[in-house]
Amino acid sequence: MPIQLEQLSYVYMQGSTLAQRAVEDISLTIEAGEFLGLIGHTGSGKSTLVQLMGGLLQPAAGRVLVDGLDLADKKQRAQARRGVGLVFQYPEYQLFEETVAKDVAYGPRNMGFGENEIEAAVHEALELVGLPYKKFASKSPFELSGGEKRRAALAGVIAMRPKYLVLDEPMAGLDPAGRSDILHTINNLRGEIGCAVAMVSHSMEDVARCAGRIAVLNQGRLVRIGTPAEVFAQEDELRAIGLDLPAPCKLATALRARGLEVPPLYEMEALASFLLKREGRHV
Amino acid sequence: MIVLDHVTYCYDAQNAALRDISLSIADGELLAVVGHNGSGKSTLAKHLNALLLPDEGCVTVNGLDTREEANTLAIRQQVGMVFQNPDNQLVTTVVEEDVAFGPENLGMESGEIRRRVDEALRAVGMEAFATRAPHMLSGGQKQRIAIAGMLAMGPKVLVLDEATAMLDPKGRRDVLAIVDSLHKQGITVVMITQYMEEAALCDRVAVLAGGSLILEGTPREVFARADVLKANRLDLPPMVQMRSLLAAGGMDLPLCLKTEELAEAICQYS
Repeated sequence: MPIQLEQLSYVYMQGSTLAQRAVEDISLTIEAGEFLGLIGHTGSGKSTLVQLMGGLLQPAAGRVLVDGLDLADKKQRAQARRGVGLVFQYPEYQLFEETVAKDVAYGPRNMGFGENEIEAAVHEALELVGLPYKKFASKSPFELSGGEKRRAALAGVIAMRPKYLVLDEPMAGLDPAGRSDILHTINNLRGEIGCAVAMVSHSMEDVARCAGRIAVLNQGRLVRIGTPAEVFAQEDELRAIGLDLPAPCKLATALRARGLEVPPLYEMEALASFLLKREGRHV
Repeated sequence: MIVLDHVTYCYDAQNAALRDISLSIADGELLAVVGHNGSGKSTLAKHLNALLLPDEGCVTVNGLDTREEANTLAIRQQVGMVFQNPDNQLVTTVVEEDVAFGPENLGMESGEIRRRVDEALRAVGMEAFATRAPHMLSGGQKQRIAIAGMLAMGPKVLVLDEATAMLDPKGRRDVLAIVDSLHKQGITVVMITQYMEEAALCDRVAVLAGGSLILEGTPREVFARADVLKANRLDLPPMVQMRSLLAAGGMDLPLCLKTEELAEAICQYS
């Protein structure tokens, strides 16, 4: 079952003179188990969309269905929200408990898990994000490094066993190794717990690497949705709305400008192996 | 010229955030400082304008020792800082008032303030937004206003502490274009960044790890040391990564930092 956004609109400060349309008439389906990338300039409506998917904001028009449950309905909302794990920007600012284990247990406890179930969920979530339970469970969240804190916060959401993991710029501010670790972890989670991932990112490279489909937002509207190959073929459109191409695409473009025939490749490894084969070298 | 001479700094007694760092930053230079989370980059940045004072060693800004309290104001006029989060740096409700905040505090007369504010907003391409409210701007626009606020003080050095980290691709492009143009006008720029492709655009790159300066040189020199960088949680700029993938498959190309440069090398090779 999917998350379905149907003709969704949202207006900030509705009814005042400062009313601002943040999301306008967006219809979009997040299929079970898929990795959807969400890209768009600052203010394009990405974070608003994330909050709408989690039922934190109520749409001005349209509706959100999570596995058929309508987020506008009070009773259905409570149940629907259990399936959606939201990870906000800089989630480590929300760590608050004395120990990592208690912090991760907070969500499952609020959801009414039994003690044994909580213990198991915390254990599993910490292992999944690469913070071995033995080493980290009794540490204070504030002793952790930046990357570890981010993982602990992610574990707190995973422990609730969401079917859909919705992340708002989960790699922002991390060093290159931290970025690649977190991205790898998120991608693995799909296989490990079978959840779908919807990830907002400003890094075209990261989205190109992981997403099966990419949704492009501009000024609150969905202007394109498709595979990375389809989306990154639209160089002019992306640039015009403040986005960019992944670095390998730029290289492919520069090679084409010099007369080389290069297929639309957007991943570094794929482009390298194409170029090597072209030189008659086997990889 | 800024000189760090054997600088050590500790936030608490057990851990040194900076360990015996010696580094000089020449006038007009564009220097990148890279390093893993917690490597001491921001601590180093805060030593450049006396926000932090060294526990050992000393920092001098054009000959002024940051430890002398009498020098603090003069140093801060010369060295402006822009931080990561665009929402934490703007203090007023009108863009031009925000840019005027520094010069006003320096006690400049109003005609001079007006001239400086106009010039600073022009330099960052935000003159059309002079009377707008900062909170209605995008992240990239806010960072440009923060830079203008620094420029209005007439600094010799601009320190950007991960100023592009929270921006969308266009916001980053705009800020980098401004950095490039300020550098061409002779302003010294120190750019702290987690993006290796940004470091590749600089004259020189300093690499921190665990509070120590472990590597320093031109981007070509530094990015030839993939082993050292990877061991310290860093990475290579995309075109250098591409080149190593090609090299691993037997296609040897010179080290290229820019897309056009690598494209040219690949065509030459064929």
